[in-house]
Amino acid sequence: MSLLINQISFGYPNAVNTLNELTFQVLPGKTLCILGASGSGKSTLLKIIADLITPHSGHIAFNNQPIEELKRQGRLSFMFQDPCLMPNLTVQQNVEFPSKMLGRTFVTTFLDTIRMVGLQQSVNKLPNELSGGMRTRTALARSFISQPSLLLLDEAFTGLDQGWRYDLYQELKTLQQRDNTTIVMVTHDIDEALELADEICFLDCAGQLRFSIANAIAIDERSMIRTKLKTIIKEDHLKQLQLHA
Amino acid sequence: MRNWFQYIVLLVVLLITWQYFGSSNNTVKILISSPTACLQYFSENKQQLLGAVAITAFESIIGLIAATGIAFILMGLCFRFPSFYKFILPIVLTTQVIPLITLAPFFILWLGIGVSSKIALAATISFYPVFMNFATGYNAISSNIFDLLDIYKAKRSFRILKVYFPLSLPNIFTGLKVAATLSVIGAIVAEFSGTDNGLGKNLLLSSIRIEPELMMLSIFFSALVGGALFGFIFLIERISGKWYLNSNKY
Repeated sequence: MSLLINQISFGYPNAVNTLNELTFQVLPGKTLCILGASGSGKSTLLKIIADLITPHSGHIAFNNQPIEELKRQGRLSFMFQDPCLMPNLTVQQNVEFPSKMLGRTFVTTFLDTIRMVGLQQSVNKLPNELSGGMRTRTALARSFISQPSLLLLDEAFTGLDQGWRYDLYQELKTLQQRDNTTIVMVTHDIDEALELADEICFLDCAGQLRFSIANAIAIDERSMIRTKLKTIIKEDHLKQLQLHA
Repeated sequence: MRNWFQYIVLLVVLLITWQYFGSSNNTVKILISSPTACLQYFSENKQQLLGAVAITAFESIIGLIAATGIAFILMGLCFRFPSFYKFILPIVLTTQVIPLITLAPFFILWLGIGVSSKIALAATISFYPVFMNFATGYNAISSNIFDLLDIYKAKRSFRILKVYFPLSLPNIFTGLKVAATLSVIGAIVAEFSGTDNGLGKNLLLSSIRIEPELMMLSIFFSALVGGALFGFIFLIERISGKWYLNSNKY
């Protein structure tokens, strides 16, 4: 059940940055992280994958089926930087929100998911009674309630402190393993990419994937990847400044 | 509780001062009479005064209900046909250029001297805050929420009833509270232009007949009707809006 992105091009009218014939593949159960500067089109790319924006050209398929089919089955989830919780609903109701939208119930998954993210004590709380980390945790549980085949993460852990982040990384990995979920995530945090991704790409200001590397477990190799990524980000930033000048 | 006590003390002080100057100073007596004189006037004309209150309250309540209903129907159409919102918004905004109370004679010519014309003006005046606040609440919904609804292919009825409406609730109540007092103003102003009975007519008569007791009682009852409407909406909000009333930010 791999995700195939083929020759995707897109640009907003009058925008400097565009996505330029992007092609890549994410293998089942794997995590691809796309790094890139602000405004490079990372979030737009995720929205194109989620079929929320129609690209100018190219096509996307998941397991040889259009994304639309995945959405119809409720097997696509999206996590935004803002947890997007319904403020009038309790944690339990928020987690169950996709099942309400889809008109299906996921009783077994609900109990399992709630337990895996440690929300058992907070199911009756409203979002305004939760800390930022707990809200993101609720959004994570909501994303996994439908046992998604594909999960898109748009800087979902940005703004959280390190403690919460590492807890959430672990919970994400556990849930991903449970459902064999393919993940595409965008971030500008190199450490987050190294922590979560199986493969890391860099989307440059010309809208092309300049660098793709399989993530390593060994600390030395990670350090080398980090240095390389930092160099690429600096170079791209300078290019972007020239473009905007 | 301490705040209530302070307000009660202030009210008592005001009543005593009013009574003192109203009974000792002729100018004050002609302008605003005194509490005891007002009470006496009320006991002598109870039936007529309470009848007027009932009529104005009825016009205001029905006007507010009509305005809310029309605003909700229009917003429903906006949810169903997003281009309709872009079409209707400039029209609604343009209508606000007209000082709406000047429409009172028009409604009397159109609907007659009965309660219909008063209800129409009350509804016209109170429509704008309800509609605009509902629209503002809807526009304030995060674009990510819309994306989430698209991803899970939420049905239109689900979107309206479970997302748009509840998330707009704080704004809807803000609009309703403003509209509650405006509908009373609308009804009274329409009554100025001609009616059989009502607080507006009483206010008009009080200045012609120089009856400050009637004027003060009419002002008091107008405030009472507006306050009661406001209080009723406030109570409904306390019940249905607990989730946002208990937090500064949601």
